[in-house]
Amino acid sequence: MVGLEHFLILSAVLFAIGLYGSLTRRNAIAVLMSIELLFNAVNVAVVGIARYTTPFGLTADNVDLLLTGQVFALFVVTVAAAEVALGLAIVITMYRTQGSVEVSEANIMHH
Amino acid sequence: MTGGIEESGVFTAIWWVIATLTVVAALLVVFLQDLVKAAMALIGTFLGIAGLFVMLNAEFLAVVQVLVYAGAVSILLIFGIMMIRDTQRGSPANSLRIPAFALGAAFVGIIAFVVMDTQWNLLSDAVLTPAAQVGIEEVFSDSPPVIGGLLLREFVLPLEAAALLLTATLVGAIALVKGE
Repeated sequence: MVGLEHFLILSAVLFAIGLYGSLTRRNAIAVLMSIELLFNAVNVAVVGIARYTTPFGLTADNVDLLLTGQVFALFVVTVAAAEVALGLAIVITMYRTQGSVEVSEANIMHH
Repeated sequence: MTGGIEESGVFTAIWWVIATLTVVAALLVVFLQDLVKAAMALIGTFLGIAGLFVMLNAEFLAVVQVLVYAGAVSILLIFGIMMIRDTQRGSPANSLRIPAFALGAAFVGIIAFVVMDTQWNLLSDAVLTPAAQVGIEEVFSDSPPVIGGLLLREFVLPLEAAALLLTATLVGAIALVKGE
């Protein structure tokens, strides 16, 4: 039977894969894709906890407390969408100025 | 709580299929050299996670996931990949491979230990009045109105902040990529 533990551990596995990708990829766009994996892994954990656990002081009058986790996940989606748009703008600017999108070559602010 | 479906073996089987597909697609995102193929695998991961949201009774979020991630974000990434010819050369991993793998494995181990060790205050074990039980059923079976209510009451300030963030992002992205 599938329970909260399954979703949380799956979320941890996805997060670890994203973490590995964001640390090892050289290409800036590949790093962005790995960061998207991180956001999604966190969302799975948040929605899973919202679905399976009891909020403090739950009564018949405030059952909408149960969806707080889903609202939180919605805000994470918003921030992730903003992040990828701005991240790509930065990558394109970097490609224009340096002719490369290797993360290790992004050093014009390095003294 | 809702009983029935979630207790059945079919639910478990579907969960394992979706979980396996999602993890395999995520691994492809991280390991494929061709970035266009990696972006395709990323779409697979997004769809798998939308499936997980459906299994968590979060159908509205599943739709948002398909629209925003599998639709918009992936198209944006593929555009980025295609505009930058550099990426077609492939993307070999850097020298951090072994420390990063160790970090990821340690992370999964610690989280698995903590999750197993925690005494979760589960909804299925909670002592609730019959009215609350009915309310829970209704909230999970018809969630969009409740989410809308929460967004416009308790979370109206974060909602406005999100609007401001998106505006700032739009202006910032245009200012960054606009030519001289």
